[in-house]
This record gives sequence, structure tokens and C-alpha cells, in this order.
Amino acid sequence: MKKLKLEWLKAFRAPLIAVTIGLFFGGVVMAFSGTNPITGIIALLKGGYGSTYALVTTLTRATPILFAALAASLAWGSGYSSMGAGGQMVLGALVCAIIAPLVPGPGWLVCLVSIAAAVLTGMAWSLLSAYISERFATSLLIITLMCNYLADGIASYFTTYVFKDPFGVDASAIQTQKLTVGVLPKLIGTYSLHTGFLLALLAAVLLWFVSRKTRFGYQAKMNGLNVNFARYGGVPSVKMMLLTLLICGGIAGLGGAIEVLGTRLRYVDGMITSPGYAWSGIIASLMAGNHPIGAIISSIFLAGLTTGGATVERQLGVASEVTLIIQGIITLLITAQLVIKWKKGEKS
Amino acid sequence: MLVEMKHITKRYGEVIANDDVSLALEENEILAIVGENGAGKTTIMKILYGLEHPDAGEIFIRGQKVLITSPRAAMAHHIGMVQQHFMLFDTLSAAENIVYQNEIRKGIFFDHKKTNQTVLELSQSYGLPIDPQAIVQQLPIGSQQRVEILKILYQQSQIIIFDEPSAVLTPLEVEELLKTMKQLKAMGKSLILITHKLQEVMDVADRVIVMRQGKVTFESKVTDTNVKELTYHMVKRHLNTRTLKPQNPGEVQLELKHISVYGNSAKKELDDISLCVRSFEIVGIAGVSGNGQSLLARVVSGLLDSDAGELFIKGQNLTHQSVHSIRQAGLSHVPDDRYLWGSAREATLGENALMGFEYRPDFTQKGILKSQKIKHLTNSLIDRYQIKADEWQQKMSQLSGGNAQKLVVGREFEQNSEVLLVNEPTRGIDIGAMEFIHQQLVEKRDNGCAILLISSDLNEIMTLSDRIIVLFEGRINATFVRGEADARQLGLYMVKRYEEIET
Repeated sequence: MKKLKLEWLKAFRAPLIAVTIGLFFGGVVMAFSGTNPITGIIALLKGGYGSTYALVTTLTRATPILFAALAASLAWGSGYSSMGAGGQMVLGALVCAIIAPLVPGPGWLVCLVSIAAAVLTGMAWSLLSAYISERFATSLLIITLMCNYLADGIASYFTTYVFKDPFGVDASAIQTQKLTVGVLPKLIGTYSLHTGFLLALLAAVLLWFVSRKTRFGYQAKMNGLNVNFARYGGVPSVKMMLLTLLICGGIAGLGGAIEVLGTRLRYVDGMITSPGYAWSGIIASLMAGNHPIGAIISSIFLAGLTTGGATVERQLGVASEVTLIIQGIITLLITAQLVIKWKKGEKS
Repeated sequence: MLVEMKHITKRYGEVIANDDVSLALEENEILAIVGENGAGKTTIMKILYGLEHPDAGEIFIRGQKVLITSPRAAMAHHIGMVQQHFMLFDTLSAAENIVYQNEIRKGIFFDHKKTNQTVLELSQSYGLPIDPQAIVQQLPIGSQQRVEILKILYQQSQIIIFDEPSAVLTPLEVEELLKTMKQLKAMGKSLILITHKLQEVMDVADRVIVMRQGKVTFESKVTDTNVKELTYHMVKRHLNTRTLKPQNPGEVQLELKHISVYGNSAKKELDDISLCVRSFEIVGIAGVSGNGQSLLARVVSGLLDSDAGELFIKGQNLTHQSVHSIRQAGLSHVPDDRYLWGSAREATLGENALMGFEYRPDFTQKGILKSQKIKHLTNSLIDRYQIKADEWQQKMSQLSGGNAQKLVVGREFEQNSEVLLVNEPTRGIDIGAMEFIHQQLVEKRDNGCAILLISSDLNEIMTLSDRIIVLFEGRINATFVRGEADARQLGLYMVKRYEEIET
């Protein structure tokens, strides 16, 4: 049993090293811009997690990242290198924002219907890329990346020309009508944190249970670790691929809807893509070794970096891009480590 | 002496691949190393070529002690190796492959014209015709091998190692290859031929070394020995030591009717295979690797759809059915590669043990895994099959090859299926584990299982089978009843069409 616990601790070692090196280089960049790196890093962390306001902002930001991370963890953990969470979130968010004002009735019904519509949209979009990849034997990674651009374009078009907010004061804002009914309740007073965060936590626990404790999760995991072994054992590989990616799409679509219903209350062009939620999600999942519960921690960490970056920019005049550099270095180190592991495995 | 290897020992975990092996290669001779699978032939040559490093022992070239740490170092000593699996870039041309790492340049650019010219001259001077501009993947296997040989000659190798070069070739290509080898010798090269085809040894080699279980057991000039003597030294110790209890075969459990797989070439890869296996019997499929055995296994297990013919298990027609339905119908399958097919190395022992059981109500309830039951299953496998493991949640990759194989075998045997497809069950594992697995197979048979055993280890086939079918070039070449044929006869049917033998 003791050995097992050690193994469990080991899982934290690599991401911790990556984070440390990332912060170190963040410090170097700060030093270049004339800021004491130690005060800079402390301010960054304080600004991200150091006060109720900072923490609440971070948790709000972590919510869409966590949904993207969960979608990625299921896909990548099952051996499918899907980058599609971004596009699925965008379309989920858009459809949610379009459907919600049309639903008559009480808030909970509006939420339920618009969320369901978003989930289905995410699923359909994911299924499309899965189908193309399977039917034409092309790389899922590339197909999903391209589908992301496509989704973004579609969403842009519809918000600009079809569903543009008719009541908007600012005519140049590319956004849909603001929701008044069916908004997710806030958790603490007037702070931005909403019940969507709890839903994300619930989704993480649920996904952990499904992926570690059920037959489906078992088969998906074996499929990811050795697809030949899974096929040999009778796991229907095409069906598993479609099912897995369908669920991933659903989670991402849900993430998009939650961001609309909890934070923005409408679809604003670029609201998912420009903060890079999906990318951060994939990084968070990689950091956690595609473990759904681990992804909670890494998502909050990455969200905090962004929140802290904004604070540092305001307080010390360091460009917030420093957080992008830190994220980039962490990603680089984590992926490099994956490649090394993979190569080692291939050799032996 | 050109090359001397002295007291070489190499261990892989608990398995000794080479146990104090000494051998020598003289200038301008063809030395053959023969032995069964796992006898250590390839390992000793990989050591000479720098792919493996010995735990003990020394290598001398022309009396000078050398350290060969990598294939690059081997090349510096003019040693080249034609590997069993060609080391070629499929999408590049023959010439580009041949000059790889010693490219002919014009300034900083690759000089295509001069490369093609040089390669053409090279191929003509050795009498190995090849089109320099042909793309490797479009060449037949025999020509690909020629590219590989030319690559080594281009590197100016004097010592050329051939690792089972004929295993993948058609008989005509083999003839060509043997001619090439003689010619290379005539041009002053020294050759080492690893093989288990004794006729080839008799045809081209000057001297022969027999290896068994990691040791050199016999050495002779080819003119002073014969196939019979070599066979004896290759397999003597445990040949037919196992006596099978006579059983009356029961009903037909597994039946193949006219199964064919067309493949890409004009030649069918599996050609009209019809066979049946009854309960209480083991039917052995003998043959040199690459004569359709692995395709046959994939068709029977449902991993590959046959192009023609029908598959029946316990009377049920399972042609074109999924792996899952075939398993449900009562087939268990020990695959030929425990890591490629048989397990997930990064998964736990428990997860590996569960495969195939995950639909049984004992192990899942409404789709939820019962971890206590899985733990129990894994631990009982560890106990019953004497697997050396610490605990059920350790990673598969931590087990040695033999123990990993026992887990795979145990998992399939414990499914209690009435039909067993067992493919190369003891490849690359130590004698102890091998004996154990053989024992289990015989027990299964005596308990009424119908077993189809595929093995390229002739000894294994002869020890265990009630009936023996010889596969050659995707066809059934001969069928024998236990004891009807000896190793020599079987060996003959493994390398020649029966039409050629019987006329």
C-alpha cells in the first residue's frame, strides 16, 4: 500500500517541476522589464489566489477551462488526440445563447433546455470530426483543429448577421441578446462565481467515476493504452471511438453553455477563443496526466496565472503576456516529457 | 582469425540469452549459426553488430580487442548486418536508402544524378540488379533485401551478417539469395548466416555452429556433417519427452472451410484453408514464420475478415463476425506477441487480467466494475500460474517476459472456453516457463478442450500435437498424425511445395 501512495505522489512531481521552471523563466522575463522577479512572482501568485476577490475571479475563469480539460482528459486518455474542445465549446455557447431567449417559462427550464441544446451541438460537432477522421483515415488532430476554425467562423457569422443583439446600445458590439431569465445563480454575494463551477466539479467527479470504475471507462482506457490489445480483447474500436468523442463533445458543449449562462449572459464573438479556454484546458489535462480530479487542480492553477497576470500588469506594469510565457514553457516541458516517455515505451 | 567472440554472456532479466558463448569467423568463409527460436543466435549477432551489449566477454577483430558500442562502431570495423526486418525508408528510392548516412553531395545539396550512377555501378559490380530510382515500398521483398545488402556493401563492409534472410522470401528468391551469398564470398567477403533452415546451411556454408538454450552445442565443417546430425544437435534434449495420454477426440469444435485471404499481390496470402479441431485434441500448425500463420490466427480470432470461406465455432457460423462475438461463442486466444496484442504494458496486472472477462456478471454489474472480484481474479492467476509479481496493481511492464506471458496464457485459459487458439505460446521465454505452459496446454486438452496450436518451433509442435498441419506459402502443404513424421520430414514440407517433394 505504501508503494502505491508513493506512485501517487510521483504523479505530482513532473508537473511541479514544469511549473517551477515555468515560473523561473517568468521571473527572468520580469527581470528584463525591470521588475524584481521575486516580488513579481509573489505578486503574480497573490494576484491569482491571494484574496477572496482574486480567488473567486480565478475559480470563475477556471470553470470553462475545467470543462475543456475534462473533455480533453477523456479523449487523450483514451488515445484520441482531439483538439476539438474549442470549436465544440464555441458552438455550444452560441446555440445556448440563441435558444435561451426563445424558451418560455421559468429560469430552471430555460437553463435545462438551452444546456441540452448546447450539449447536443457539441456532440454533433465532435461526431462530425470523428466521422471525417474515421471515414477518410485522416489525423483526428488536424481535423479537430480545422473544425475549430470552422466553428469560430460559423459563430462569428451568425452573431454578426443573424442573431445580433437588436437592443444593443453599442452597435459595433458583435454579440447576441442579453439573457434576463435562466441565468445561473451566483455562489457568494455579488462576486462573479456562479453555480456553474459546482457543475464543473460534479462533472469531474462523475468523469472520474466513469473512467476508472465502469466497463466503458476500462475499455476506453485500454483502447488508449494499446488499441491492438483492446481490439484483440473484443472491444469494438470504432464504436468506442465514436462514443468517447461523443461524450467529449457533450462535455465541451456543456462548458460553452455554462460560460454563457453563468458569466457573459450572451454570446459575444470570440468569448471562448480569445481567452484561450480550450487551449488552457488541454494543457491542464496534460499536466494532470489526463486524470479528471487532477485536472481540477491544474485548471485552477492555470486560471490563477491569468488572473494574477492581470494584477501584475496593473500594479507593476509588467505585461500580462508573461503568463502566456509561463504557460508556454509548462506546456513545452509537459509535452516533451510525454514524448520521452512514449519513445522509451517504444524502445522496450 | 578475422573475428573472435570469447566467453560472451548476455542476460535479459532472469533469462540467459547467451551463456559463455565463444565463436570465431575466418577470413573469406561463410559461417552458419543454426538453432531453434530463442537459442540465442540473433542475440550473439546483435552483440557483434553493437545493437546489444554483453554482460561479459570480449570481441577481437584480426587479433585486436575491440569494443563495439553501436552499429556505427560496427560499421567502422566493416561489419554490416542484414536484419530480419529491413531497416529501410519505404517512401524513398533504392539509391537514397543505399547512400543513407554517407550521402553524395554537390555543395550542400543531395546529388541525385551521381547517387543513382554510383548505386547502379555498385549493383552491377556485385551482380545484384536493382533500379536505383525505384521506390522501396513498391519493390518485392526479395529486391528490398537486395537494397539492404547493397546498403551494407556501399558502407564497405567486409563482414556481413544475415539474420534469417530467407524467412520472408519465396523459394525462387531464396535461390537468388544463396547465389548472391556465394558470390560475395568469391569476392572476398566473410559472411555469417543465422538460420534454422538446414538445407541452406548445407548449400552455402563452410562451417556451422549449433546453438541451443544460449550455448554453443556443436561445431563442424559442413562437409563433415549432415542435416540429420544437425537436427539432432538442435533439438535433441527435449524432443518428444512428453507423452500424451491417448484420448478419443470428441465433436468438432472449430472448423474452417475454404478460408482465403487475398492480400495485395497476385499470390493469395491464405489459400483455401480447410481444417477442423475436435475436443480432446491439439492440432499443431507448423511452418516457417511468415507462411500465413499470423493471418490464420487473425481470421480465426475475428481480427481479420477473410475474403472467402467460412468459420464455425461449436457449429455456429461466425464468418465476418466481430472479435467479441467469436469470444462469446467460446474461443480464447493466446496471441503471438504478448506486448503488441496480448497486453497493455502501462496498465496494471488487474486491468490486463480483466480483458475478456469484463462482460461477465461476476466482474461487472450494470457496467460498473467490481474491483474486489478483479483483485481476486488477478491474485488467483498469480497463484495458479506461478507468476512472479508483487501485487495486482503493479504495472504490466514490470513483469519479465516469461511472467507476462504466463499472465496472458493464464487469463485466456481461465476463461474456460472450449476452443483455444494458441499462437507461439512460448516464444522468447525461459525453459521453466515453457515447460509450465506446455503442461497447462496438455491439461486443457485432457479436459476436453479443442486446441489449435500455431508455432514456428517445430519441437513444440511435435511434442504437443495430436495432428500436425504444415503451412507453406499460405497453403496447407501436408497433414500428419502424431508420430507419423520426424523433424526432417516436417522440415522438408516447411520449405518446399508438396508437388515438388512428391514427384
